[in-house]
Amino acid sequence: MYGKDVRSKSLSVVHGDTVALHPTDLDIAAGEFFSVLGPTGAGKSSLLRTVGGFLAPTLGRVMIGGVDVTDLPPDRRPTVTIFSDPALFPRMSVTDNVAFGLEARGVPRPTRRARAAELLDLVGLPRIGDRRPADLDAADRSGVALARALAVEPAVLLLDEWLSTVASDRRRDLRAALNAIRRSTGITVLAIGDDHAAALAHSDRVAVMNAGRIEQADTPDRLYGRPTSTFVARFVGEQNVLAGRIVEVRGDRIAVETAVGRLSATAQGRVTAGDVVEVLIRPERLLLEHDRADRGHADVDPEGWNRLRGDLVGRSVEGATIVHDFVVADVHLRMNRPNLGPRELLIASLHAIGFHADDALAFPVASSRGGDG
Amino acid sequence: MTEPRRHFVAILRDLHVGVGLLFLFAPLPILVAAARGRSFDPTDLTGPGSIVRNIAALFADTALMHGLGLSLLVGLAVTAVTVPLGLAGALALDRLSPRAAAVLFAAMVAPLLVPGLVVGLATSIVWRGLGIESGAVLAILAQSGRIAACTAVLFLMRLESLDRTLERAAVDLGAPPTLVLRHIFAPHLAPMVPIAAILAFVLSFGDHDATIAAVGTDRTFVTELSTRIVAGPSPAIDAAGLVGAVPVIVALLVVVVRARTTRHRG
Amino acid sequence: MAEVFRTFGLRLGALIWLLVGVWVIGLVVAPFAGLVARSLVTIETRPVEAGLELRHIADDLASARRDWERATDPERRAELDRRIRLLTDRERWTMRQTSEPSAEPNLANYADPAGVRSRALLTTLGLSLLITAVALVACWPLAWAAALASRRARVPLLLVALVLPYGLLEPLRLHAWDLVLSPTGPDGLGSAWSMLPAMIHSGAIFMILPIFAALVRFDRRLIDTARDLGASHSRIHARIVLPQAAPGLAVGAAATFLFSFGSLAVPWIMTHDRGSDDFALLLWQRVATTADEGIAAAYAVSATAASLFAAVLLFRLFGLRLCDVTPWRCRP
Repeated sequence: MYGKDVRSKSLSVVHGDTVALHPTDLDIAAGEFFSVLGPTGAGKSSLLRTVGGFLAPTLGRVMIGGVDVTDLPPDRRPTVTIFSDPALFPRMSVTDNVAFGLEARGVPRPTRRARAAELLDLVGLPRIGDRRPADLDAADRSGVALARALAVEPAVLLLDEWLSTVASDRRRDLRAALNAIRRSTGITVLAIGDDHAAALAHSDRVAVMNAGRIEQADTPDRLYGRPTSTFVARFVGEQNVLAGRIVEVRGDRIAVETAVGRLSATAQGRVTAGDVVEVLIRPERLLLEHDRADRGHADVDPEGWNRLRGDLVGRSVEGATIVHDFVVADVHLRMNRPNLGPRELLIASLHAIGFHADDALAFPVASSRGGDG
Repeated sequence: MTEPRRHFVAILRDLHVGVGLLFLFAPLPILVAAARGRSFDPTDLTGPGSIVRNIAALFADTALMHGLGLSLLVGLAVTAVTVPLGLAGALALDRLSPRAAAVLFAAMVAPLLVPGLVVGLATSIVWRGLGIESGAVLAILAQSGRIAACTAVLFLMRLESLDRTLERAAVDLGAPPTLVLRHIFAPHLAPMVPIAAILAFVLSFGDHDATIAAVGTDRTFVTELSTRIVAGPSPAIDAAGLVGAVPVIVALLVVVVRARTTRHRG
Repeated sequence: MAEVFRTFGLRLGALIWLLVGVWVIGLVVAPFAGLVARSLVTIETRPVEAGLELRHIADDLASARRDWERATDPERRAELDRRIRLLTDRERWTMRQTSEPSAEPNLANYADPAGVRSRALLTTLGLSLLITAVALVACWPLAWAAALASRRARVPLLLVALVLPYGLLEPLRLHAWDLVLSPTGPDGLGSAWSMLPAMIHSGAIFMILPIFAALVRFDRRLIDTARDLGASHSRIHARIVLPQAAPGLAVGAAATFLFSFGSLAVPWIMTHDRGSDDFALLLWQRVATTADEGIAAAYAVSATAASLFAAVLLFRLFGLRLCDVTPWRCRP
């Protein structure tokens, strides 16, 4: 078990007039799989590179395993970075590539070749040792890059969109290999990428960045269920957005006047009557009335249930989910239902739909950072 | 990507580069100093020792000026000959099978692999035997073999970046060969033509060995200059050295200024 | 071959093949074939009267050449040039009238009784190897630095800076070196050593450009990754940078070697025509002093054979094939 924790204090990167990274405090536990999501230019790369040693921060410190590594170059840090187009050495065989880190440490030839073979087995690429990188496809190359990185037993693995060039079916294999390795070695992983679903599915914690700041760093569940801003809420998943004005406040529960009527919602942050808010409802939390009955919501907190009638205007099957588009009082709402088989809804017919106040998160408009995303 | 710390090796490399540049540019100050030391008095503007006088004398030197004229003539002729040759060669090579292309390429490049002196001598022996006595024509023949290979290489490099799917698409749409040439090959190669022409002219003007073996007593500027230098130092050589060094020094200053400004901006 | 006609049409295809044919036959094959043919023909002069006549002409030529060297006035020089040309023509005409080419081709022109040629050949080969080795070590960091610098800027300034000195004409460059190095002595070993810096100076560009071309597309991240994995600078250079540059190094070495071996300007100017160790210079001296082109041709053919042999050897040494240095990619 050789993973270490990663901490940063006021880590900041400034290029001339632009702030790429605002002072950031990271606290990643040893062995944790920590993903960073965010739009382009949010500062993810800057963060990753400062931890990896490829970018000198303007301010702040980086500590790995309790040791301040801020002034150390990449080769003296216990980190290895894998990029999206992994830079495999073109004129070396795959085995030599994987064994390179060991060669640099003076490990004798037979030992390091054997170790390279072991690692290639581990990532699911047992027979390609004698090939050249140019003969491999993107997925194999990423696998080799992973094996090469693991050969030096880094305490922290930094992944910079490492699967972005790999086809989705191969990604699953590589991720499985990475997870197996994490379990056996306890390695800490800090990953940035654009595959939200995968990040939320596989990470211990996820940070959502925007304009150089971490908006929220939390477990995927909490990010999904308890976003602290509309930006985060809209970033990690699709949302139905309804603008409205608060007419009544009762503790956490508020009543909001919107285009589709008066709704019961849950306030995120301090609000008072009269405030303008955006109410966010997840498509999978929008339910048909008879689904609600199926799922046993009928009796629980009937006061919090918001009832609507909507016209079904569209439907598309997306594998395990069916997306239904409703129109309620000129407002488009989207509903995701699990694909349970032949029970089809008729288009252009009116349906009773609704959602619970607990699933309607109301963010004061002043607090919705990042604007429309 | 930047690193937190400057490495010792990088400093060593910079030192090496600095010394290398000093070595390469050393002839410039030497020529200027020699001109000042031997023949010219910088404070004397109109007398016999003045730089102006001696440079004027340089322009009055019939042999050198005749050589200059010949160099320009030969240069233009060589450019006019080698650019089409190089283009034809590149296009032909592009269409051949790898083995045939290798043979043709070897034949084209062969004059570059042998000493220029040999090429000039061979040209002189063969063509003079066939009745061509003109030094200018012989020089053109001697230089063209080598310089055409250079222009061909330029065009080949340019062809490498041509997107072949364009050609396939055009043929697929039924385009006749002239259209293929006009819309695909010509526009892609056209930007290279002025570069190849400039290269051909520069190589021709500066060519020494092949030219001196072919041109006889009808010397070009470069060969006249070298013949005089071999015979010994003279004010004409010093003046020529000064005149030759100044443009290079000016160009160097431009490069240095460019380097400074880009560094500040970036 | 037919592919050319198919792509470019009948007329343009014919033009292309015509140009290529003129080039290969007229500028490559014919001159070299003629050179070899001429080298195999010896001139036999008829005795006495012809010999005497030729000797007079030779003496006149020699004195005219001496006068030319001594003359400083360009008018006088031009006049002497005309005289030399007249005398040379007369010499040739006289030779044609009074001598016969040998009936059969023979190798008499290649004879080297005093061993002068062989010695010069070996000396020049050795010197060229030395110069190539020095240039390799000296120019490698320059080309490497230029390739690195060219990543950020659109115009490769450092490369321009390395090429700029060659904007000065070669005789002038050599003249500058001659001024600096001439105290070491005009003849013999002094000249050989004084030629070294001048040769390296003139030949550096042949080493720098090919290495630069090989490295300019080098992926900088390969170095970053190697550093990240803990490799030292020397290991990175040896295992990653050098293999990438290998084709460029080979071409550069071959080009520099061929230049050093075949250059006339450098030994001629640096020794003021007095040297006797350099093969190219020796060849030129023979050309200038004998009317029998056959001997000069024999020298030239030997030089060519040696050049080509050395070039092929260097290529094999670096493990390269012809396609590695062609502008189009190698097919494995």
